[in-house]
Amino acid sequence: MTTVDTPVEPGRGRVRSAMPNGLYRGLLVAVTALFVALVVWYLVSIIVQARPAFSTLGFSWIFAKVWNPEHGKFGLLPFILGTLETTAIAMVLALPIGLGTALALSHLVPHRLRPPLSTTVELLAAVPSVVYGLWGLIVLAPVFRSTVEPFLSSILGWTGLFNGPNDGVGVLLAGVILFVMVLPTMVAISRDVLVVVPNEQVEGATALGATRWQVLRKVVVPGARTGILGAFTLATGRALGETVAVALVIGNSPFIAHSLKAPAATLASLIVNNFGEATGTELSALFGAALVLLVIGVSVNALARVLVRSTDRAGAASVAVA
Amino acid sequence: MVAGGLAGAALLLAACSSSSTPATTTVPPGGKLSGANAAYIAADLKAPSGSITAAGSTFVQPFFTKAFYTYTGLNSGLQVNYSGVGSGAGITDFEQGSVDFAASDVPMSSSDLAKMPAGSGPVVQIPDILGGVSLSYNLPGVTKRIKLDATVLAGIFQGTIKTWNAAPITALNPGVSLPSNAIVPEVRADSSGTTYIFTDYLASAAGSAWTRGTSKTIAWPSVAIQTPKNSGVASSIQSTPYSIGYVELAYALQNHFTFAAIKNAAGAYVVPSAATVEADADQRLAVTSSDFSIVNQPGLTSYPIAGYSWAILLQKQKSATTGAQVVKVLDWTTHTGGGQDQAAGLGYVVLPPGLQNSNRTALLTVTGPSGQTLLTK
Repeated sequence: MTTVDTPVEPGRGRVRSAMPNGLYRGLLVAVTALFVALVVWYLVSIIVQARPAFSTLGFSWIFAKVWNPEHGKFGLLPFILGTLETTAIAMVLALPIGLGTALALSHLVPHRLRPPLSTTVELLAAVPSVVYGLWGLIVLAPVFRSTVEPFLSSILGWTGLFNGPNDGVGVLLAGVILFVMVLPTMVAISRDVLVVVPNEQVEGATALGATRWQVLRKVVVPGARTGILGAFTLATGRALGETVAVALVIGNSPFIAHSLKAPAATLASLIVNNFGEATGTELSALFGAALVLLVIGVSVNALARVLVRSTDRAGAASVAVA
Repeated sequence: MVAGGLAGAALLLAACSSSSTPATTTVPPGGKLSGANAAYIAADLKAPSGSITAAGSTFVQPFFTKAFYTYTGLNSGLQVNYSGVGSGAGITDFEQGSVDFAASDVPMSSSDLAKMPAGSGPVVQIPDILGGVSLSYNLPGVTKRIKLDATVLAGIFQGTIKTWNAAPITALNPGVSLPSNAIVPEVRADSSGTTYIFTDYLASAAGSAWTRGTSKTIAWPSVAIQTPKNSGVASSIQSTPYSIGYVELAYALQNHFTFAAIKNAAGAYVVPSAATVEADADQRLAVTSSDFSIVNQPGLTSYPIAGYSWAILLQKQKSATTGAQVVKVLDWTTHTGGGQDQAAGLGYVVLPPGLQNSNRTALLTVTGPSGQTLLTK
């Protein structure tokens, strides 16, 4: 808030606002309430729309294996697994690569190169998802079919994860496209929190004889942990809910994939493909799928928080011991 | 991909083996356009000014977009806002009364009609454009156009014919050296009129060999790669060697895809084109909204995988002005001299004249709230 008549030295004393405290607080509460109301409204309308599916099908349909609206079967299990698999692939790639890029951009790359590189990363975040999807389908799929999938099959075939024909499209390609899509989020937010780690701490650690690598690992990354968690959570959310790009590259096969190369489908791709023409129980089941997706998103978020809190405690304990 | 090779002369690729009796059916002409057509078309362009909204089929959207754009160019007072939300969603919008007319690749069924609000009266459904479905494929090293029939297609799309050199395929293609690679069937992930027409053909022509029914959504086998929209399937075919999929003809023609010659009811292998799709439609002009299938028609030159898209409106319009706008725009769009003239350039097929005439008869039954006829000369 701007001060009007009383000049106040920065950082000292109480700032007397032109706006009365009560109004200020009231405004914030109102804004927050509006946000909460929007979320509740959204949640309630999804539940209302999904209810007919639950009342006709019970609850077991969520974990049933067969999706066949023609025969009244609306099993979501293949889509739940598809969602988790593709997101897992994306995040397993995005966490180290995204964090590494962010660290490089914040602490390693020469200063004059940082702005153009950062802009490039942020530019990637502005690419529409359908473009990523088409790029995946037209450019990446042939490369996966001819090179990546045969290579992975030859070195990792023993795991059983790469059985079957090299189709190009499928779980693996969808996961990789999601990785490319969430990378900008991961990098941009991580970099922003990494650069605000207090320089004193970095210099202090360096003065104590820590190598650059040790400084990054022991001081910078732990200092920015909460922000990195935020980046990870946002990126995961985007990966879980991405629709169009995934629909273009996953093959949309409503079966449980027995190989990472096999076509599959995600909850989001199921919704986007069927929403336009769905009526009755099918439409309701699609809202049910949206609800399941929401539950997955919230669970992942909560899980990440619990993990960080526990590592925080472990970190504090180790510091105390030291 | 090899260009479609659509020289007009190549309509009929090859007649079937000598065992097939040559079809004796003479192709009935599509009929003659009613004499008063020009007068109606001229009157259509004097529709009251304003704007109307419509929604539905994505298949017809490129045609509607061009036709309505042209219409507004000729009658700048009337704007038609069409949303390609999908046939099913268009019908739902129509049932809820939120659009002035709907478009669907499959006419409203009796169960759809049962959902109309009480008192809304009868629904008029007219064909608005004709289209075909191609079987486009990506077969590296094969330059000769392949031939397929319904039974083989049923096997391919049910996953029972697995490789390109399987006996049923090679039997239809003597002299073509087919690879031993696995076939990748490419299908629509979303509900689609294109899927309906293709499976209508399989159910009609392959008989019991096709077990998955006729529908806009099919439970495909797990080998099938499913991609949304015609453009998605088309891109997937282009980037997947040894794949085959069904793609709307307009789309396949514009992108110069390679597509198969399909065996028709007369036993001839026919390449899809505007002329062969029209030949198929000409065989069966008496279509209605409850009996609309035109797949697998007789006639040596008929391409057997074809179907109409339908415009849907209330017979008793709620407003005389909106009603007049709707019937005039639809009359103009579904007639030669009006919107149908835009069809060929976009890869669609012009409605047979006989159907254009029956469209006019149907639109003449549409009235305003007080029973007055809205379509005028």
